[in-house]
Amino acid sequence: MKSEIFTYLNASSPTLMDGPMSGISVAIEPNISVKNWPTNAQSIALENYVALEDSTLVERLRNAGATLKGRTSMSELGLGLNNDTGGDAIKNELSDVVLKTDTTGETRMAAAVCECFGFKPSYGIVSRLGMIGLVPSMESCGILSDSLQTISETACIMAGSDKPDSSIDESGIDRAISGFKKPEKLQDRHISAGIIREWDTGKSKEFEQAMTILRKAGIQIEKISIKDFSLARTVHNVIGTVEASSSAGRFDSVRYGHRTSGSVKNWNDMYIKSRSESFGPLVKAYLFQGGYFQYKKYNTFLDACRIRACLIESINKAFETVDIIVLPVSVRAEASAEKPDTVTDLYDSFSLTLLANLTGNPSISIPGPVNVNGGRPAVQLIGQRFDDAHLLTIAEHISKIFTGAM
Amino acid sequence: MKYEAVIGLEIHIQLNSATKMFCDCANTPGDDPNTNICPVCLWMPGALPVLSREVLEKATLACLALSCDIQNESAFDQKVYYYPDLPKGFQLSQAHKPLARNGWVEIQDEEGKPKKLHLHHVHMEEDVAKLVHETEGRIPISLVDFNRAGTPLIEVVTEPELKSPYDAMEFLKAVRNQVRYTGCADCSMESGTMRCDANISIRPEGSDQLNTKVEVKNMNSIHHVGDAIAYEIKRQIDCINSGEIILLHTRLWDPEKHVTVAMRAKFEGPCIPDPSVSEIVLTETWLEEIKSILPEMPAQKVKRFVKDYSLIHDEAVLMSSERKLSEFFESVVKLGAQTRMAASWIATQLLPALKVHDQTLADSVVTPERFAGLIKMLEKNEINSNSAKSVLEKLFDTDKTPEEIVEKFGFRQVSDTTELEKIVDKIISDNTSAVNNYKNGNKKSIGFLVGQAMKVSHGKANPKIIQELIRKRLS
Repeated sequence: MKSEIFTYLNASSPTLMDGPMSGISVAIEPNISVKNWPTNAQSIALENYVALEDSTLVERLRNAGATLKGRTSMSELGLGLNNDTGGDAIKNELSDVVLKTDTTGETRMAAAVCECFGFKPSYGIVSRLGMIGLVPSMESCGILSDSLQTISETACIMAGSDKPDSSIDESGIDRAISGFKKPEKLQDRHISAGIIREWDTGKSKEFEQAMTILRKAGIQIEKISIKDFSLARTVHNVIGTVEASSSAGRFDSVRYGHRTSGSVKNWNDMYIKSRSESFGPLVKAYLFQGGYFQYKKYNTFLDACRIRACLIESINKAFETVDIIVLPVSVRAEASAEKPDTVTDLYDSFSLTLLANLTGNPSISIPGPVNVNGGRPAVQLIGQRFDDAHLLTIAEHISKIFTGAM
Repeated sequence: MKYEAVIGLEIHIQLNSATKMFCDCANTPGDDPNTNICPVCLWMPGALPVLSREVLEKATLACLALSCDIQNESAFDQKVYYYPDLPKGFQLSQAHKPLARNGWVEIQDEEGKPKKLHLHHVHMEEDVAKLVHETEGRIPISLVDFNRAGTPLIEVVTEPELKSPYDAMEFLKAVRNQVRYTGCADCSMESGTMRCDANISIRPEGSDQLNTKVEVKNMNSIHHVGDAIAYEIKRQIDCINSGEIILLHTRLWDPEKHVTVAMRAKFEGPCIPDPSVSEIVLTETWLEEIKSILPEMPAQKVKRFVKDYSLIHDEAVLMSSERKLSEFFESVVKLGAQTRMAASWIATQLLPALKVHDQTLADSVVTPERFAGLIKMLEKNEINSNSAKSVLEKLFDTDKTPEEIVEKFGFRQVSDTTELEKIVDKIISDNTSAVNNYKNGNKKSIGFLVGQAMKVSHGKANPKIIQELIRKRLS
């Protein structure tokens, strides 16, 4: 079991540094750079690639005393959950924390599958330096764990300014960090949760039941409006594929990564052969769509950017009246079936988690109340951007309600 | 039918910032191959670009020197194409939101009248790596030197309003002078720190339509630009006259054969906003700060030199033509040298001498102090202009002051009348026929007599006093 879950185990003796993360083991997906570790992002495009340096977030964890455990398996370049073993590492108690890039909702979906917690921090508080992803404007380093306390501690350590990452929001970091440092008490506080009016809750009986339980526990559930919510999926698809197509431009076989061993006529031939050997069918389809929007439908891309800005505006407005937004993680009966083979499959699976990636809000997946099958279909909570600690505190509260501890 | 040309230029200028555009690597592309490289300019997985503040400042200064409107908000785009010299698979450029719009430079047209040529915009972009093609045994191989990858460029794009090769060449000189003045770039077409592509189309004279253009590249000097444009205009007119259609494509100038050769269909790849480099938002305070370090530009300098130093217009233009030259001139004047004499001696004596000695004003042993000393002695008649030329020559060979040189080599002008009278006596008695000519009304022969006196004095006599003495004696 162990060998299937980890693709690489750290052989060097555990770090002796004493710090807030001492004694906490952290497994890391192979697209987050750890010095001298294989870092192939699970793609032939980066076969045998070994990271030269730690990514900033790994360096911060290392300095805080975390035990770097090894590599779990992931889907190619972080799209979807094919071959993903991050959740299994938590379920089998092989690691306290798994770090996993969240681009469309992968961390939250993996948590839903394995009935643990999966947290995607606010965009712009954790440095992306050393993270190999496809969609720079949407991806965050997510955290999987079965302890919300550990998630909160890990996020607090990872967050911080980093000069090389221009997407870091300095004032946002200050807000997020001061939230983590001063945990709030919720006892006397009234919590309001928003349900998106434009999404039909009737699609999930289990979600409706979960909301009933929350209402009974004193949480105010109200309807909020995210205009254009139904377009979020298309917007993510257009912008995500366009950015991915550019991001994957580095995999050209000139400086590193896989180069075809076949004979080539010229550079173009070298590119085409190397790249067609490098990527799997889902990534190829994803990049191809991006190329199409870049080259043939640039105006569609511009429209998508405008709608994205509207979505951000709507969600900010919603947070004027509610503490969190609640959604299921998945509408499918069996979350474990989320293994997309096509771009359409991918977006079918992640249609409810991708909103937070588009808007940069923090979002967490928590196991919901037990259903008739004995499963715990996950509930997704979205918080205000940079109020990550507040979201995690509410998640703790709601989690206790679901397990009957409150 | 008569045709006229419509020409637009795209000029790439390499900025001389200490580092590359998005990383801390040295901006010295000529170093040993692949010595100035890092994960960012090699675009290793996980690398992130951060725009250099110095590059932004230098680019802004260059735009101000071209009288552009600096945009409060600008942003980088990805120009997507695949080539081994392009590590990212896209070039970071500013297609949609450039740093500066509008702008102009002034040239003199063929009749000497001032003419403004307008810019469409100026944007920043990163340069690509350099490809080196070699053979390994008999197998051709291509090597990539990434030293140049990510070094900073600005691209100056004109309105399509240039009419002739002359316009284009004058425009390039004007842009070069303006940008060089800021000290932000070397702007040498010969060494590749300034590169120019020309877009050329033709239309019936007097028409205002814009026809299909042809892009011409690979001109390595301002003259080549002129030649290539002249050739291309003629080629297009010949095409039209023989019933052919002009197709949008790119041609290369062949400097040996003096022709343009078709290279490829013009490729316009996609261009999308870059999500990693943050948008540039300039504050009013920052822009004011940059404006305050913008040096005085040649046009203002000419006016000031005329007003403050009583130079005539052409002298002022000459003394302002390059920043180092204007600074040298001002230093010399501030050290007390007479202004017009200083200007004329810099132009006619010093600059040619520097060329002979293969020195520049910046690194020359003839410092403003030494040169001013020379001019002041000339002005006070302590030496005459012949001796001054000799002293200037000696300034290159020794580190002595001009005063010491004059003493040591005896260049001091003889103005002592008793001594000069002796010489005059001798000249008058030795040259009776010239003396008689003068007395008979041929006033020109006094020149000959003065010349003889100078010869006898080994060039040290004060020619004015000599002439005075001869005239007195013969009257």
